[in-house]
Amino acid sequence: MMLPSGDLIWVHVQAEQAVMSDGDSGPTDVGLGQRIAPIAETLGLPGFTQTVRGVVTSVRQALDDHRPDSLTVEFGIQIVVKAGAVLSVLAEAGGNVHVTVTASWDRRDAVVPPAGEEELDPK
Amino acid sequence: MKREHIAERLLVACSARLDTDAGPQGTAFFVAPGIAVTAAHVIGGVNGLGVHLSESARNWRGHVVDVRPSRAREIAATSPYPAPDLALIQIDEGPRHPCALLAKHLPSEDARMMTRGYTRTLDQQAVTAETETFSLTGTLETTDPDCKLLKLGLGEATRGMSGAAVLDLGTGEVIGMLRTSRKLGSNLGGWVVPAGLIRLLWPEEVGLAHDRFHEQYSLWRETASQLRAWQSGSTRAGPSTEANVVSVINGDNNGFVTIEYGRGSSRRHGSGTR
Repeated sequence: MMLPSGDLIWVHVQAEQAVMSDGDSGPTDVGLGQRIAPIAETLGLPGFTQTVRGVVTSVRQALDDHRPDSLTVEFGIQIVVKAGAVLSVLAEAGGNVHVTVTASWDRRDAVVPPAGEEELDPK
Repeated sequence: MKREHIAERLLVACSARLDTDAGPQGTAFFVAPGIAVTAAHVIGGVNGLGVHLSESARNWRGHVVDVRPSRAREIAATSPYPAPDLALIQIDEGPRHPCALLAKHLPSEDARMMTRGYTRTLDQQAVTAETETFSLTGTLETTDPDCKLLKLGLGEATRGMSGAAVLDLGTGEVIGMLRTSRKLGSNLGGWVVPAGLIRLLWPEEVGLAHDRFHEQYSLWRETASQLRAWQSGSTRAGPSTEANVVSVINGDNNGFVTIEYGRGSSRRHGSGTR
């Protein structure tokens, strides 16, 4: 499928366990690969851009008062097929969504002691 | 030689394993010089996708030039791909190959069929060729008014057989392309896209080119005639018939398929891809 950036990627969609269980299913296409989302490139993976932008914007706003010099946000994107559409949503693990935020300050605006006031060695 | 052996060799001659950059996906078969078909779901419905076909030591590179339906907007992992579920592949590079003889008429009610696809039945790591026989059990109308699928039974359609040619054991003709199992792990068979629809969808790329091929190279038709005669009982089954069709050998030095008739006589049978 095609990402909003225009890059083409392969996506393997893992079907529900009950559906994939051989012998329990009805008519099933018998390709070797897992079902590949057809013509998803035309869909432009809806929700991907909004999901990424939403998370990043939310984190930046949360730290707006603290003005970090650098900010790293780590989170997972899960691509799912739901109700006949390909969607990208925040990946969940055990019902929880994990977003790891690392903020740092280089303290360039901290007060620097004037020259000549270095601590002298005790005699 | 049993007719099943002859049928299998005909299927070997026209079939190939299909891989993409994501690995093995299923099966395809040649229907005209430089043209192969597979199921649309095998290539993810992606027009323009590059594919790699292989059969024994022969390899081809090609790309998808048409997919039907062209825009499968409904995606449902639990449902079969929308009908007819066909993709046309143009070969860009590779050796010459024979083409399946496509049936122009629907098979008889009690017809027995054979298919040959690339599956993981042996183990989950290896992809190997597997044959299976079926009986024709009925038809299934679809939402596409031009597509009435053929239903097979009394055989197992296994993962990897999508895109495989289905050959009528009584006529030696390919009646269509296997696309769906009616129930995995069972003997309920599968669904087949009729050969007539493949010709109808691509009248020039498949229809005309296919007919020209078989006008030029008559050996598949002659072999099919032998099978029909054998089926009808108008020729003696057994050693005399077996001697007429000795073997189908893939891939001689020129990339041709040679079908040997009788003892000591042989003819060439093949076509270029370019």
